[in-house]
Amino acid sequence: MAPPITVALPLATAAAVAACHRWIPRWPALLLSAGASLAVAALGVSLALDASHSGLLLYWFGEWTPRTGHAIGIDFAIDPTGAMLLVISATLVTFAIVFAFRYFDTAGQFFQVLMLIFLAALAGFSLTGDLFNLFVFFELMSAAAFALCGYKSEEPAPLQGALNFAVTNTIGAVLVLTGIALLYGRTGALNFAQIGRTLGGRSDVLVLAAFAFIVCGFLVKAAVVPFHFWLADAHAVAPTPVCVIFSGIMVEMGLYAVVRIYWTVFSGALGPFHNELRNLLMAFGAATALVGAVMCYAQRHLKRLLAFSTISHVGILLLGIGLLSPEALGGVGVKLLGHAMTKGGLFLAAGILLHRTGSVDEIDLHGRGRHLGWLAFLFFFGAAGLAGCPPFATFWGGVMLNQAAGRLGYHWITWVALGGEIVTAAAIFRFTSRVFLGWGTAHGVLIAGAARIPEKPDTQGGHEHTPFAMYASATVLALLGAAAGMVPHLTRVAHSAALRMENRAAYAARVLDGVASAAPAARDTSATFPDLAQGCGAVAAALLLAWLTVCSPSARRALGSFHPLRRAVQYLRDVHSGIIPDYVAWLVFGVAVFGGVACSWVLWHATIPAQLR
Amino acid sequence: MSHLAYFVAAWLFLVGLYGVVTSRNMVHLIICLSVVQSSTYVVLLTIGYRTGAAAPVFVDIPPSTPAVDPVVQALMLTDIVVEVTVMALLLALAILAHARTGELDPNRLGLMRG
Repeated sequence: MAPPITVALPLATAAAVAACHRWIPRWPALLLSAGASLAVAALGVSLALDASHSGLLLYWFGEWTPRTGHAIGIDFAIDPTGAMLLVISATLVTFAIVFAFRYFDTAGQFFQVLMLIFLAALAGFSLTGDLFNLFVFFELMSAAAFALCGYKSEEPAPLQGALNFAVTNTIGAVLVLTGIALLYGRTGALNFAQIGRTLGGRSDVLVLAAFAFIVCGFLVKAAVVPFHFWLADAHAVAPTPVCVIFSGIMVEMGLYAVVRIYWTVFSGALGPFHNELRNLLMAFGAATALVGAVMCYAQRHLKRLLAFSTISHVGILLLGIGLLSPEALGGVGVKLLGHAMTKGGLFLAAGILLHRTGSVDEIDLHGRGRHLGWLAFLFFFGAAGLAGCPPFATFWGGVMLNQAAGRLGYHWITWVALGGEIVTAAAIFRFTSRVFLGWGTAHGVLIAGAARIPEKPDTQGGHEHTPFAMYASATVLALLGAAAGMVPHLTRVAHSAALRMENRAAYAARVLDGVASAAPAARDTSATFPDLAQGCGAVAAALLLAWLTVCSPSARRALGSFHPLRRAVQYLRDVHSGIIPDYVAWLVFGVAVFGGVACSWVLWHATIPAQLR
Repeated sequence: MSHLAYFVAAWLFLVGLYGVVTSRNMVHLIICLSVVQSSTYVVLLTIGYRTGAAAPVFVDIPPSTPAVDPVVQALMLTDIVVEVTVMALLLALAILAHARTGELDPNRLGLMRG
């Protein structure tokens, strides 16, 4: 079975549905689209199993295999990590399409078409072994995402959100392409393994500039502070099934690209700057986790709240990636899996709420969700998952991350991650208690100044009941987040995948010389009592925080009169201005900081003798 | 010669970004964005350029003749195709936004504040 089918099948189905949408009725078209993405998920599972048994799977387009250790052609190089990302993408797209069975009664089939194109891009992105190929899939993903974001084009807000999203991400793509061009100029190669081998252990300002361009470009997609502004705007206005893909996998793909490119291309050349790079990535990660958490708690619009929660979790993932250790990267993988399913379930639940009540605004909806008991449970369940409660996959990811951080002496990461998880979960608990239980007053101290985005429901008619497809997909996706954590040996599989990912020499030997390497010696991670206590304690702390803000007048008064916090929140709100030129200015600032710091390492190493450093 | 081309690329990149940041009109902003993008075309072509080399079409010249690098030209063509798609989409979004709100100033399209 050839791996490119995972790209070709959704594209062909999309073309067929688009060509025939006038003649075939809705239901067959929907079933065809859902079936195609389910088939991709199944193919992904078989690829993942194959890859974890036999290492890297290679597919050279047109049989242009490497000659004497030089890659000429373009390849798909499938390792367990890439295959797992493909499975997550296809699963989320399937759920989103099923959820949208009753959505978009007009022009509905173009929604499925765009979703399938999106899936094809995600599949190619996670499987490719070629840098320019990666860029093309990146742009295909972006184009489909921009169109989906502005899908409800009869309202002004989705158009503005889509414009913010499209302009910032296009600049990100230009950064990536500039970096690729510089690397090609230096090495004459586009294959990951080939570039990595040609670069060897040498690095100079050009290599670091290329690195900074590529990483910053992908961090725009990953919504890392200060490149993150577009994400909240795009999520607030995109149809909820689209948010599932945005939050669950598209944003994380930006991080994946950074990891893949660092470990296959740059890890040799940047070897001398290992510690500096670690500090730089973790600084960006910590800033993202904290800013995302504070802004998440200060929102009243549910989809925007969940979007900032995604930003915070991306920061936590980047902290793990920044540790540059296989165990931490395994933890990041497990956490990503759990977050994708849990956040997907939460967004689908938000879609049901929007369908039933016509709003997702915490203040407008105060007490109006009392009859939607199951929905309240879904939100509660999802928030517990985000907080890293056992047995969710997020819990196991957290355990692996904490152990790796402890071993490397970065204990503060644990606290930053815990803070982000508690605050983002508390924000959902607070929303749930106000809307579904009618607790507290309709006014919030912190959320009064938040964006109140006018929104029409995605659905037309039938608001007095919820279609079965909606409830079923939201529930199953949320349950999958917990079920994934109960897969036996999940941590060992993730550790092994991360060990393969971080072995540049073995990757290059397999791709360029056809030499397979032995399976890495991975081990299971077991949770100790303090880990379990931390997971449960995070949920308890989040509940307490939510209860204090909603129900305790004295706590609310104290919060209201605590000026530094109010001023900080007000400042952050002003920064999130919703205006494209501001966002681009922040983006340029972020690139300048990252690139400046990265290039200074070389100058520092070149000018200061080793014994003085 | 080659250094001049890199300076041109850097200049296009920066001046385009300056235009995006200071623009008061959405269509103008999108055109500035295409200026930023055109810097990548210059970088790519410069990287593949060799002084005195022939075009990489070996129909009537011997295969050993020095030629400019065809790979970057292919990359640039792909890049143009991708960017044209994105430009068309962006302009369509801007026109729709103008039709809904009657506003083209990016500084007044601030529904998402806070």
